[in-house]
Amino acid sequence: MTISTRRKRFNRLIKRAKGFWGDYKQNKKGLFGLGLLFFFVLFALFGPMLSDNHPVMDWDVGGRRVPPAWFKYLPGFQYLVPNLDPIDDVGFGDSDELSAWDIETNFEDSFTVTHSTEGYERGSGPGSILISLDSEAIEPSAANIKISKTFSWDYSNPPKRFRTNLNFKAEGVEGTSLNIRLVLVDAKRVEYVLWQRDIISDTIWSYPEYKVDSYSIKVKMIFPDGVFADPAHIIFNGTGEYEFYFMASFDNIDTESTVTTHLYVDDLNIELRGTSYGLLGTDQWGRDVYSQLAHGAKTSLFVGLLTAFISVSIGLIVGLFAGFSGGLVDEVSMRFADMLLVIPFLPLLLILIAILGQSVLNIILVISLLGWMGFSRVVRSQVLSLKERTFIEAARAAGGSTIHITIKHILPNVMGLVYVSLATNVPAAITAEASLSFLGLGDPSIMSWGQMLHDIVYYSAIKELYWVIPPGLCIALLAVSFVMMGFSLDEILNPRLRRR
Amino acid sequence: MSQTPIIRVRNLRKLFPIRGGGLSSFLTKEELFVHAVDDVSFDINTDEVLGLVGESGCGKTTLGRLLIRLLEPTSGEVYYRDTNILSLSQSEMRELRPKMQIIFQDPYESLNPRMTVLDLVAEPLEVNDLIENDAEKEEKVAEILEQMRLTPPEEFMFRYPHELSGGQRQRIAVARALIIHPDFVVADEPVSMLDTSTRGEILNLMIELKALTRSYLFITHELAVARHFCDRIAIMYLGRIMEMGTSDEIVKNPSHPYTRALLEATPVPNPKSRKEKVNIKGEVISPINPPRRCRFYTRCLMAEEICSRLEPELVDIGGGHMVACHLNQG
Repeated sequence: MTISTRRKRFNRLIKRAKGFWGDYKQNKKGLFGLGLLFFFVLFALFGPMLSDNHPVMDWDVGGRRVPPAWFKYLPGFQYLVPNLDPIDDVGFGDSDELSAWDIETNFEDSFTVTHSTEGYERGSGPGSILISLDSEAIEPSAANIKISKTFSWDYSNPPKRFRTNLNFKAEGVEGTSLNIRLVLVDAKRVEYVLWQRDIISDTIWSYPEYKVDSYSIKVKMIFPDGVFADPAHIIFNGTGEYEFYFMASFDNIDTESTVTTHLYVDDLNIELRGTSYGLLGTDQWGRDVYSQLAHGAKTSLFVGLLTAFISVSIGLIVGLFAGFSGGLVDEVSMRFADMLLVIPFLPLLLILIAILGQSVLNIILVISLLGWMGFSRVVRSQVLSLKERTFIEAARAAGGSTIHITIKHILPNVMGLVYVSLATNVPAAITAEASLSFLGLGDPSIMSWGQMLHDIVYYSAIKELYWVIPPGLCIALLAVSFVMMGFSLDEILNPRLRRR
Repeated sequence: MSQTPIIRVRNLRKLFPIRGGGLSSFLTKEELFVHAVDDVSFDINTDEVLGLVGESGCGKTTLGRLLIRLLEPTSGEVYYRDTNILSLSQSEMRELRPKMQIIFQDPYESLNPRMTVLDLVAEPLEVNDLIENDAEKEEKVAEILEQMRLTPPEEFMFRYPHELSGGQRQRIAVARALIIHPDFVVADEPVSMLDTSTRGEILNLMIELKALTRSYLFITHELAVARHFCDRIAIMYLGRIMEMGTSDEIVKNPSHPYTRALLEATPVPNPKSRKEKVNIKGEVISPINPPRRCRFYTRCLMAEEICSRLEPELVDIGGGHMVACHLNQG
């Protein structure tokens, strides 16, 4: 009998749920809200997977502050070019990666170019290129070796920026004069020496003393316009074959000595950062805006739901307690709630976050500790009216304790309020978090939509619509989805509002 | 009907304070009270049904709730067997609750709309730890539902109150009260909210199920119903008992002018009979701080001078028939 009745009970539950869904389905606002929320949940779950870029840590994944790639189809944006990475893998992890480069020398016999398993520790990949010069097998005049990569630039417009990379180590250079350099050659075969250095003694692993980068002042100073020059603009002046090479020139070689000179080269690379990037462009530091938006959705949903859950729970407990016990407990808790209610919300929030520290958990804690008062008053009033109902008296007459009455009789009758309040508290929490982040008190290690808006204002990018609209719209839409669901829940669970 | 009474009530009194609006409570020192139950004493014997009859607002319901301590009295004593239940602590009182149950007037209000019939009926069992598992719970509930003629019980167990008719709801309420076999049940106008046909059914059920309990306090405003159901009847007026005796004695030999007025007000289901005698006048006086005189004085056609000076005591005029009237103490 128990099993069959249990199944019946379960069936009743299913029937009730179906009945509720039937009511909900009729409600256009509710469906709209639910659909929007569903979209955002999917976005928060799967959105970050579509982009490998970390929203905070991965700088310069594209040109800085560039619009989305698809902007080039819009009138007036045809000049946009994408990123170009001539080299796929720069780590020299194994000897195959050498084959991406062309290697030329003027003394074939003297140089041996091999792959070494030793590499720059903090670079990418464990290996490097090892250039060995056997001094005995060479004439004492200049010998040089060039490691080059030719790539084609198919756009008439220049990239936003180029960056190069190099790590090197020299051994056995005593008595030899060694010069190494990084050179970029344009389509008209004009050579631009971006960096060079004479090496007179052995070195540990080193890298150029300035970043060999089109944004670097040292690189700009190569050109007549100096600091006002844009090297990327000058060098990439048309379509054609471009060449990037590393060259090592040996001179005054001491043929008497038996020392073999070793030059290790690692992480040799050039990257061209275009004037457009990805789905939603990049921010001030060349970070992926799409990735920020997707991770921001996660943050916003997490903060919104958790905060609403905590604050509604606190409000429920305080309201139940105050309403049911009455007297002094009621007075004290409600006056305390009133006190919190009259303190201006945002200034208090700012001060508390400034004191407690900017972490997402602190933000959740503070927003929820300041957000329970209104709901506790609602619950209290509902409990006060429920308390006088006959069925509560009947439960007491049956021998029920206060705890039993609260849990079995009062709580189920205020749950409708709880659902509605949850739905309406979420957007409040989301916007509160966005406000905090916007004012610069967000969690700097986590990207949120408020943080994005903060960056936009901080870097005066209000006019960059591709960057402004996504976070602003998302905050508004997510808030709207919860408000819509709250309204429809209110209409369904609160029979007085039900339209027949 | 001769053992120790199951319930003894002594000088029970319940006054509800009336709070004036903000300022007036500061300005006046006089405190106003509604004298809902005013110095009432009576016994309810084992296996006895005591009817409590009176008009609306006379304090019947308040008295019923005082007896099982759903309300705290202002003064007086209520004994269940030998325990003064008013001296018990909250937890001691909870242990005694299964012995005393109440059936409320309005079945639309007394059942939690969010609980199934199974949970509603089993609640007294569950809160008093009288069942061990779900199987036993369902078995006991099915048994009482069957006794309540709610068959088959499986049909009803998983319904919610809003899926039941008024009569069915009241049967659930009765089942709730009787499932733990209490010694004493307060039935607070259990049939006044129901239509006539259902009313008879429920009353007959309650008579049949007398075996499940020992004694009833049956509160009603209809003398006819009380006579049908009760062994003894107490007539209440404005918080005081006016007359008390066996049902037959009260109906056949009413000694208080108010009882006589009540009896004559009982409708006779005969359209040709014309009632002409009106042996009552005026309106019920306010229960707020009533003057120290016979409560019925202003309405009594036979009132004498002594009635305006003294409140009559409840006196035995023979055979357990008690009357509170100056004119009937000779």
